Amino acid sequence: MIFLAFRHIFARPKQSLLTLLGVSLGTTAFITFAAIMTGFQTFIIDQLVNNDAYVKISAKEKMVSEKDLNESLFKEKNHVFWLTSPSGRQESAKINYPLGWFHKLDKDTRVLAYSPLIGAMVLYIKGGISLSGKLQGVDPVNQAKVTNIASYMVQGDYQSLAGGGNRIIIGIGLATKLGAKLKDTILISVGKSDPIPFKLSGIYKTGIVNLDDTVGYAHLRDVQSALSRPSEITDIAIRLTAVEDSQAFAAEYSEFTDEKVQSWDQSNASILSVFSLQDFIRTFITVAIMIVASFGIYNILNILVNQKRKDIGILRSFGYDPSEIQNLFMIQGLFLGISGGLIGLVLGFVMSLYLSTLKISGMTDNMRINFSPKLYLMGIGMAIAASVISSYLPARSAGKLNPIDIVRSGE
Amino acid sequence: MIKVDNVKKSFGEPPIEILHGITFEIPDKSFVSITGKSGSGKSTLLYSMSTLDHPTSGSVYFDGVEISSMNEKEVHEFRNLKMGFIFQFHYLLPELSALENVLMPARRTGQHIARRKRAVDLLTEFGIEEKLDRLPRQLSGGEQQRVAIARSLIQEPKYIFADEPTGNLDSANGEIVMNWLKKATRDSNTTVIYVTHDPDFAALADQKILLKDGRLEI
Ligand SMILES: Nc1ncnc2c1ncn2[C@@H]1O[C@H](COP(=O)(O)OP(=O)(O)O)[C@@H](O)[C@H]1O
Ligand SMILES: [Mg+2]
Repeated sequence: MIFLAFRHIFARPKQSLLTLLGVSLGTTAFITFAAIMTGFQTFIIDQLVNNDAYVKISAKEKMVSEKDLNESLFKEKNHVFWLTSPSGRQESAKINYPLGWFHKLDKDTRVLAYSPLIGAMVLYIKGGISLSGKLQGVDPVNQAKVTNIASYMVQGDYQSLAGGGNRIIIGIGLATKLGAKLKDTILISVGKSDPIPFKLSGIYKTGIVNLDDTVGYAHLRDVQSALSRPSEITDIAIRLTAVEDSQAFAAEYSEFTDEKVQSWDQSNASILSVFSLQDFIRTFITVAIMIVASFGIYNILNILVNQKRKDIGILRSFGYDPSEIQNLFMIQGLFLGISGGLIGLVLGFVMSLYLSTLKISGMTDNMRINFSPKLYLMGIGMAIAASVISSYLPARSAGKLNPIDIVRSGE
Repeated sequence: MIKVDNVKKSFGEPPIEILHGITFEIPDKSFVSITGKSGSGKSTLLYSMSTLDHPTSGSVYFDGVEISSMNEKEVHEFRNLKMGFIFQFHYLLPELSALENVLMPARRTGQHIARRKRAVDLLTEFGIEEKLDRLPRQLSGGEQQRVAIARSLIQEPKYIFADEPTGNLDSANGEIVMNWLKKATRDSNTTVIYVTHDPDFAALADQKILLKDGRLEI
């Protein structure tokens, strides 16, 4: 039947080519979309994972409760009635007994490095401009092991923080907004006391606006004294040897502590949920394209089966059986689907190659394009699935045609 | 030998009986005509005998084997190896050349290479050796019907069923076709059963079946 199937295909080059083109374009679109989107997502996830810790232990903010006050204030009384319940933060959040954590992390073989942090919301002030943002006090040596921040420096040197002495590194967005240049002095207000001067010793750029526009880094001790919270820390950033262990690690540590232990994906849940929306839209578009391509095959085959009733009748009269007739049309649908899919893969690959040479405005790097074979397998898999599904019905109806009806009806 | 035993055939709902109990035998190597007025049931009888259609009741035996006792696979093999069909309209596959059309039944069992010489011989005998590679639309009606006859002969079938094989041809071409059919089967073991309107062609037969309103007329 392959012989006759190919004769049918080549006897109608225009129709066949059109169908082929439909499937090719569908597959090309799928590959290109998916390559861009997953490439972008991998890039962002890469950034998220490497800019922040794999796992972060953060102090939990403790709220004042009736019980806390009852115990400390009215110990001997049995019943205390509050007209207005006490509320508000108990104190600035901090990690209790950080040394205990350090010991534990030192012993855990999954941990590659960890770094204590103190974070606070501050105002960055320069000239007449004041911008709110986050100041992170870091241990520069360990922080560089935990995140890739050191590799994102565009001006100055990350390790300049190591000496202490109120030096600061800020993101490029923040620097631009403040109009700050290297070696400028930036005032930092933590609310209670007078603003404290820090000297700008470096500018970094991660490509993530959220960080680049708001976050500054200074030495742990400098920030602790600026906040008047000596030797307190609010977070411990941890890098593991394997990023895949993050979730399990975070879950395990959460078990025995009140502090918040979050893996990188939990901290970035909102961004990741945007990704799943993107994935959904991509799947939706792809399915829509494939349905259109399937309809192409379905239509062509249906028309063909109708045009070929006489041929089917005559083939049946010399002994070809229903399954052979069904194959005659299945082969055509599958051939068009598979070869269309393969052409689509090639075109998709060429598109991807081209796209990977383009720069996105605002990013220093070229576009990240996913070239993973998995994508191409999915692409051809979809083309095959679409052609099997859309060929089956017309082919089966051809197999079921009764030869006597065709032969008798004459035309 | 073919044995047709009390074959009845009805169509529709409520059923209208078209063949009212037909019984006859055809010995091997016969050249048999079926004649009768239009609508007398000639085609119905031919197809009911030939496995393409089923009698409503009654039996058809080929060499003692009843058709209805064969399974699907056996029926398809039987059609492929033992039977040839010729229809009023030539029914060639339009994408295939004359030679490829002739070889199409043999292709089912992969015999198309082994049978190629026979196909060329048949087409040569039918006077179209120059046109082996032409598509059906590049052949005249008479040539197309000769290709169809060659195709029905390619498997050296034991039985050939022809429904008005000359019905679509002018009398000159019809005569050529009938003579070829007779000649091609004369020296073989083949039985030919053909429906015809034409008394001249009916006269070529060694056994004549005459139908009138679905009954045999002796
Ligand atoms: N599939 C069918 N359904 C209903 N009636 C049919 C069918 N096939 C044939 N007939 C009827 O059976 C009768 C005999 O038809 P047919 O065998 O084709 O006659 P012939 O070949 O002798 O001209 C006609 O009246 C025709 O209308
Ligand atoms: Mg008829």
